[in-house]
Amino acid sequence: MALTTTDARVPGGAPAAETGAPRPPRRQHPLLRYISLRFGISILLVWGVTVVTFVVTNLVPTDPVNAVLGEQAANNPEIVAALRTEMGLDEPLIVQYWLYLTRLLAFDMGVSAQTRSPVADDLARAFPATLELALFVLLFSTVIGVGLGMLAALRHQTAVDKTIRVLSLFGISLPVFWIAMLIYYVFFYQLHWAPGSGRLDSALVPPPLVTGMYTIDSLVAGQPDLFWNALSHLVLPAVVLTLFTIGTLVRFSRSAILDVVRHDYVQAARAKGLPHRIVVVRYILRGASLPILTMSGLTFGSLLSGAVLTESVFSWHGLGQYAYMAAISLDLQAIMGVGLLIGVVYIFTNFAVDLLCGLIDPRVRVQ
Amino acid sequence: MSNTRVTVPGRKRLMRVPDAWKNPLAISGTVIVVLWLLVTVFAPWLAPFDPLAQESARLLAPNGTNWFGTDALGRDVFSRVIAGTRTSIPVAMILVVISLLFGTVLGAVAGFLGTAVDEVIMRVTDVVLAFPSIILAMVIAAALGPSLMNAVIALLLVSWPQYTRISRSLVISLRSSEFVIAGRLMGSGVFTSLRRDIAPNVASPMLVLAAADFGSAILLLSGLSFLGLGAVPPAPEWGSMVSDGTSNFSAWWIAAFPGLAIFTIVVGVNFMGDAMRDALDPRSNGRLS
Amino acid sequence: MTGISIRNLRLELGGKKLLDGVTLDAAGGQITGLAGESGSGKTLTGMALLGLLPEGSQLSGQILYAGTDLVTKSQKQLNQYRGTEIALVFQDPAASMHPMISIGEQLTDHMRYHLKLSRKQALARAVQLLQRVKVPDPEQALTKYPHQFSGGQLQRIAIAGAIACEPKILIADEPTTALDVTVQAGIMHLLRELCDSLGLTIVLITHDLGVMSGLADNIAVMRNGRVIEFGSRFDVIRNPQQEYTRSLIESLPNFQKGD
Ligand SMILES: Nc1ncnc2c1ncn2[C@@H]1O[C@H](COP(=O)(O)OP(=O)(O)O)[C@@H](O)[C@H]1O
Ligand SMILES: [Mg+2]
Repeated sequence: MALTTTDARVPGGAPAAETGAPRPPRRQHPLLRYISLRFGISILLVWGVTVVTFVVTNLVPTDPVNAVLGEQAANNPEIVAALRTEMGLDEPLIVQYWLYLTRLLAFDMGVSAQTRSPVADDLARAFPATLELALFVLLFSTVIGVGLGMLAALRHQTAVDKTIRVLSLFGISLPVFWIAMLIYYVFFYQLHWAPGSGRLDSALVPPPLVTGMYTIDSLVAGQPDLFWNALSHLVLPAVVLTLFTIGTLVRFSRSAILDVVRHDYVQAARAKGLPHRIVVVRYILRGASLPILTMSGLTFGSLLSGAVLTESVFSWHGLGQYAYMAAISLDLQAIMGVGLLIGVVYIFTNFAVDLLCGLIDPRVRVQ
Repeated sequence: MSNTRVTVPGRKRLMRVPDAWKNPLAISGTVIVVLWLLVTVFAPWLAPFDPLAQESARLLAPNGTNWFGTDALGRDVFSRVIAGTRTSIPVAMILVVISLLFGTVLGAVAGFLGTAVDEVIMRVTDVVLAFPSIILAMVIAAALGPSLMNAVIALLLVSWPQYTRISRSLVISLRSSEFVIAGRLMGSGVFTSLRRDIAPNVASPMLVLAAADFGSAILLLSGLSFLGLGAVPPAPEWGSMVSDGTSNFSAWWIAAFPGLAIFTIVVGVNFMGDAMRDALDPRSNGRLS
Repeated sequence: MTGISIRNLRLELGGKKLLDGVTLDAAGGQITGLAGESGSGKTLTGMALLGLLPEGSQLSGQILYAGTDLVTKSQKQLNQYRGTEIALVFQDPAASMHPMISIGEQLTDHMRYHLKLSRKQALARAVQLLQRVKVPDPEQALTKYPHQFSGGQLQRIAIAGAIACEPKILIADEPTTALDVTVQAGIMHLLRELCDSLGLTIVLITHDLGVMSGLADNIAVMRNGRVIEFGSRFDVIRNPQQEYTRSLIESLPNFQKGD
C-alpha cells in the first residue's frame, strides 16, 4: 500500500511525548492535505478520461456529420458545410476539444442514435438500476469473499485453503456473459426459482422516483410488496455478478491476511494471551482493512464491467444493457457516454476509498 | 495506489521448475492447456463438419452426429467450437506477447531513466487504468468499427499499462539493489547492467504476469465479440457463439459449449499461472517470521 | 519467586532441527542472559516458552514452570499462561505494536480479558504502568498511536504492556537491538529495576555479550540450537569453558587480553 507513514520519531532518547503544551498551529491538517491531494489527482484523471474519449471519438473513420444527417441532407454540400461549422468541425482540434469539454460540463453528451433521446438522460435513467445491482453485489461478495479469504489464510496450506484456492481460480476464469446465460437458463427458464428478466414483474408499477433504485424507493414509499418483488428480480443477476467478482476478492483478501499474519504485532497479540477470536477480529482484520477496502473499490469498477456483459441477458434496464444495445447497433454517442460515466464513477469510487483509508488509518489521520 | 506486490528475487533466481511440478495445479493446468493447443493445431482434422456451412437441420439438440447440437443456421456447434480455437488462442497469444513486450520495455525505460520520462509514462498509464479495461476496449473497438483486428487493437491499447507499472517498480527496486550497484561499480555500462543484472530478474515475474494475463486476454476478447465488437459473423468465435445463444434460450447448447471452451482453457492457464506464482513467492517456502 | 527450566528442548520443522536439545534454568528473580550469534535459536527458544511455534513444527522435551510441563499443554491451556504468567517483549517495538490501534487499547485489551477489569479500571492501571516505566504524560500517551512515539518510548510502552497482568516470567528478545544506541542503556536499566523491585524472572535474549555481561546474573551461550555454555556471569566471562564463548568474549570491543 502506498499510504506513507508519517515519521514522528524523535531521534535520541529524549521523551517524544509533548508535555501538554498547546500544539503549535499547523498550516494544514495532515488529513486535509491528504484529501486535497487525492482529490486533485482524481480531477486530473477525469480530465485525462475526457481527453481519451475525445481522441477516440476523433478516431472514427466515418464523418460525424453523416451520423447526424439523413442521407438526403448529407448529399447537400450546403447543409453539410453549415452543420460542420455549427459542430465546430472546421476548427483546430484543440478548439474542438474545448467545445467538447464545455458541452460535457453542461452534461451534453450528444443524442443517442438508437433511443433518439439525449445520452445524458438515458444514462441518468439507467445508472440507478446498475448502481442498485452493483451495491447489492458489492455487499454480498465482500462479506463472502473476505470471509473465505480469511478462512483460507488462517488455515494456510491445509485442505480448506487448497479447496478455496481452486474454487477461486474457477471463479476468476468464468466468462461472465456465459455464466449469466447458464444461470438464466437453469434457474429461470427450467426451474422458475426466481424471475429472470426486468427489474419488476411487468404488471407492477415502479415506485415513485427517489433514488431510482427500486428496492430503496419501494421502502421509502412504504410498499413492501414492491420491495420483495424488486428484490426477487435482483437475485439472479446478483448471483452472476457475485460469482464474477468473488474469486478475485477471495484471492486478494487471502494474500492480504497472509501478509498481516506474518507481522510481529499478531504474534505479540497472541503472546498477550488474547483469545483467537479477538486476535483475528481486532488485530488481523484491522491490519488487513486498508488493502481489503481498496480491493472493494476496484471490485466496484469491475462490477460495472460485469454489468455490461450480463444485464442484457436479464433484460436489466441499466447501464450494461444500454451499453450492449449501443454496442451492437454502433451507437457511438451512447457508447462514449457509458465509457465516460463508468470512467468517472470508477475514479471517484477510488477517491472515496482513499478517503476512507485516510480516515481509518491513524498514520494518515493523526500526526 | 497499486495492489500488486512486487518481490525482487536475488540475482539470477529463475523459477524452480521441479518445485512447480510437484503441484497438482500446475500439472492439471498444463495438461488442459496442452490439450487445447493440440486442438488448435489439428483443428481442421478434428472438426467433423465445415464450421461455416449449414450441414444439418436447425437447432438440433446434441446427438450422435452433432455432438454439441446445431445452431440456428444448422451449423455444427462442435465443429465451430473446434474451429474457434484458431481465433481465440493465437489472437490472445499475440495480444499478450505484444503488450508484454511493449509494456515491459516502457516500464523499464521509465524506471531506469526516471524524471520527466517516467512522469509522462506513468500519468498515461494512470489514465488508461482509470477505466475498467473492457469498458475502454469497448469504447475504442466501437469507434474503430467491429472487426477482429480492431478488437485486438483496442485490447492492446488497454492491456499494456499493467506490465508497465510492474516492470517499472521491479526495475526501480533492482536499480538500487546491491548487486546491480556492485556491477555498475565494477564497470558495467547501462546496457550491460540492464541485460545482465536487471533483465533476468524482471523476466520471471513478468512471465508469470503474462501467463495470468493470457487468461484475461481470452476473456476480454470473447467479451468484446459477445458485444458484437470483435469477430464478425459467420467466423466461429467463442464469444460471438455464446451471443448467438441469447436469441435461442431453449437451445442451451448453442451458448453452453463455446462458453465451456472459454472457461476450461482459462482455468488451465490460471492454474498454471498460480503454480508459477507460488514457485516465485518467497513466502510459500515455509518461513513464517 | 518462580523460575522456569528448560530440559532437552527440541524443535523440528520439515526435517530440520531448529532446536537441538536446549537445556537451561532461568532462576527466579534473576536475569538470565541468552547469548549467541543470530540464527542460533534464541528467538525460537523464547517463543517456545510461550508455545508460539512456527506452523507445522514439532516440539519435544520439557518446559518446567510452577510444577507443570508446558510442552504437554494445549494451545488453549497455554493461553492461560500467556501474558499472565509468562510475557514477552519483542525486538522491534514499532513492529510489535499494531499501527492502527491506539496505545490505550493495546495496553488494556489483555488486562480486561485476563484480569476482568472494566474499561475504566484498565485505563487507570495503564496510566500507573506507564508511570512505572517512565513514559511522560501517560494520559495523553494512551490516546496516541504507535507512530507518534520514538522507538525508545515505544519499547517502554511495550514493557508496560508485558508486565500489565503481573507475569512471573518476562522474556525480552533483543529489546534494544532495533533502538538508538543512546536509549539502549535506559531500557536495560529499566529491566534490571523491574527484576529487582517486582521479583520478576527475566530471560534476556541478545546477540551482544557485552550488554549482557553488565546486566545478567547468569549467562547461557547458544550455538546451532543448543546451549553450549551456562553459568554465572562472572564464571562465563572470566573463565569460559568453550572455545566458541572465548572467541565471542575476545571480540568484544573493550576486551583486554590478560585481564
Ligand atoms: N518460522 C520459521 N520457520 C522456519 N525456520 C525458522 C523459523 N523461525 C526461525 N527459523 C530458523 O531457526 C533458526 C533459529 O532462528 P532464531 O531462533 O530466530 O535465531 P536467533 O533468534 O538466535 O537469531 C534459524 O536458522 C532460522 O532460519
Ligand atoms: Mg532472534
